[in-house]
Amino acid sequence: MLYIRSLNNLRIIFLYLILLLSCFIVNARELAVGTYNSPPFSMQEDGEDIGLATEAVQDLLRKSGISDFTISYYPVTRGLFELETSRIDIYYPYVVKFSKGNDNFVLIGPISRYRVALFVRKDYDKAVSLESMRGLALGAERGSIGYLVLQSMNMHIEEASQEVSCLRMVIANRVSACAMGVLSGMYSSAINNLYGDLRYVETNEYADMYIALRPNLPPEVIEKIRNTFAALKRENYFEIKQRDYEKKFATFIKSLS
Amino acid sequence: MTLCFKKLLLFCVLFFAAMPMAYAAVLYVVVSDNLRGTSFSQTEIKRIFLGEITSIKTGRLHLIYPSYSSDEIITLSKFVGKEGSVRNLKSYWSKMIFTGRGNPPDTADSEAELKKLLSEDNAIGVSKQSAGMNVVYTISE
Repeated sequence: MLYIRSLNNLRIIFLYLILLLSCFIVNARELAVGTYNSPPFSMQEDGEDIGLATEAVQDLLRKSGISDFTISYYPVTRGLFELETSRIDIYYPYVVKFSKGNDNFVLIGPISRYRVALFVRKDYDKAVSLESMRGLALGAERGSIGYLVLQSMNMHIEEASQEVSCLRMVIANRVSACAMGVLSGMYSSAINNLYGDLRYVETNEYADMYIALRPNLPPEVIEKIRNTFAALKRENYFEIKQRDYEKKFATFIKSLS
Repeated sequence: MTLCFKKLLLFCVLFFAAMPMAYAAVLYVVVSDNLRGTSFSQTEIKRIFLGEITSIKTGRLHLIYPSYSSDEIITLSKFVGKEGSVRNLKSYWSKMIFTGRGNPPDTADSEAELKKLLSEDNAIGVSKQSAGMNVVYTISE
């Protein structure tokens, strides 16, 4: 009788230990960070994760005491789905302006601003603006900010699978212009040897970029990240970073042209 | 008939085997006058062209790349381990610049521009020509 009771106690202790261990494993698991290729904000070049937003997120997490995280790349819609279903913990850069309003993420930011431009052939001699190009076929990468701007204005969109293919569509006269971020477009055209064949005109459309956290992330983790963001914001960290990156960006473009 | 076919086959084999040799690009690593006679190992040359070695005893190196739309850049890309891809080379330099680890090289669009840039001390670049240049290394595919 005594033997059975001690066996039961042992079983309870064993179950308790397993529960404790699984809690520890859940808490200790590394943070899964998702992003998409959006140079110069986030990109993988020469096997390394770099970019203005990537650096900001890395600094933000490290300064929040989170050093154990991995960055993976997903297309925008897939990335948001991964975040919604809690398969990843963080997704960036997240654009609030064009969200459908039914997302339930915790947003930290803004960390940067994305200005939309229309890229046309250098020899394009007609007016370049969203209004004057209404009715013409305009290219945009599906799910990108440029795409969402065109969609919100009911423009005639030709979908491109990538930014570079959108720019190539412009050069091949398949579309009159390609809508994309100023810096993103400049980067893509420079790195793919198209810079000399294109020019761009900025639109008034822009979007602020945020970091999206899944809402069921432990509250203490959300609080830590939020506090670090506030501290960095007070130091003008994000503005300084943006200016620094724009300088480096100009150096890069100049070196290739 | 059989002998004739064999000869034809042998000719074709030799012809196609020789083709890559005929197109094999040779590039000369050339330097400014103050570096004439300096010896560099293959590893050192590679590291210089990747911006990993930025200065030597005589001072800070001035790195000169051929134009990104030239044939020479493809040979250089292969030599530094970027698979002959211009995209890979640009990608590498974007990483170096954005992470603050390096400054981009100057580019020379012509031999005349290269010669002008080589008139500065501690300059190093590549050329298809060796005549009248201070050649310190030969890159052959």
